[in-house]
Amino acid sequence: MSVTTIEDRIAGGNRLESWHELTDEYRAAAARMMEFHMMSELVGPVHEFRWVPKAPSLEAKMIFAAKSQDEVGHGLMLMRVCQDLTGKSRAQYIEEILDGPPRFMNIFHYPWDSWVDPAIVAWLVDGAEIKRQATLLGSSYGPYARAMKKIVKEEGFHHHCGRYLIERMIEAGADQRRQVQDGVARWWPRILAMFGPRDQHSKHGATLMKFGLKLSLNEDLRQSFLTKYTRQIRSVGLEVPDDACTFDETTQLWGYTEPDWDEFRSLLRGGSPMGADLQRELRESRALNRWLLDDTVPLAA
Amino acid sequence: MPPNRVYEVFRQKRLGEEYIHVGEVEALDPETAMLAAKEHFSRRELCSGLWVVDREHVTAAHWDEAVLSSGFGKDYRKPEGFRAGTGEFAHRDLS
Repeated sequence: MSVTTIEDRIAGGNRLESWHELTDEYRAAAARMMEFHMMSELVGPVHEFRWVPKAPSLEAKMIFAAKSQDEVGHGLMLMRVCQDLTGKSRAQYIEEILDGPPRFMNIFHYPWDSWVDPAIVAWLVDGAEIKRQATLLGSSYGPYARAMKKIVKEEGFHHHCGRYLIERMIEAGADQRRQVQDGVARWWPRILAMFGPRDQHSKHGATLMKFGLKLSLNEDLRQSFLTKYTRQIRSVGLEVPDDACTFDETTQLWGYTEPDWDEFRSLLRGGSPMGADLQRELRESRALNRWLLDDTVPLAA
Repeated sequence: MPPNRVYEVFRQKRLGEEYIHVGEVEALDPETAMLAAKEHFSRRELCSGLWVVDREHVTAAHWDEAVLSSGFGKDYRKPEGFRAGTGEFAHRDLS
């Protein structure tokens, strides 16, 4: 019906809704992107729930229990969106996530070794993700755009909780303040890399832009992140850990030291020991809970 | 294990307001769908009521937007001829 006009419809600001409106190329591009997002939301919280028992206060434990529950909820909502797009079952997706290749964000491949790591991730990584996700509220695929409403709102909670926890650490004296500053330095290049390489000639990126599935260039999002977070980092009395990070008044652009793009690509393609460990924990959890799935029958049979 | 079913979830934010579609959950039966819906859609926001509806029981219109929105252009049903305070009638193009 609309096979020849799908790009016109998107350009006209229309949302696409049902499976039969979409072309094979659109479906493949959308599924690739949304499955990546789904897996990131489901693998990432393994880091977080590992930190619930180790968090330094009851309040911090509650924050991280709620945050990890939110992330799993986002993953399951996105799984529903992907299922309607691809026809795969939930069981198939769970198998792909637990046993398949590590298709998730670079940021989850790094270990969380001390309490400052979960706090910085909540503050700056969730802050960076909101930048991208807020643009995706305008996605051409209606079911994804709707799911993003809840996701963006909850990532906002996480970001504020992260900033709150960071401020508590900064107030707690010189030693903890130094740990926060070291942590910001450790995570900074990884976070800048999250937005993806500057080069926009990638085939997938162009296809996603054409279909209205990606709405901002990687570099534009990174610049927007720099504008907001260089200010925020300084406002809590910390230093931006990059001497190249200055604003050029003539180009109106931020400079920064290029992240290690070889490392970025290798994490996305080949994974890491940390990423493999997160998937291993999910597989163990599935094995432990197998009895429940096997014995569950519908109540209203 | 029997296959899961998809349940569409509708939420009422405050008593007296309409139930609005907020998403879907997958579950074995309506009772477990309701538990999942409660976790997903009431934990972080106001909620005074939830419905879960088996997707199989939803009938969707097969008409497109051009047909379904066709009532919108019928300006002649809106009386706005007299401009209050001016004593004049607006001249409207009814074509």
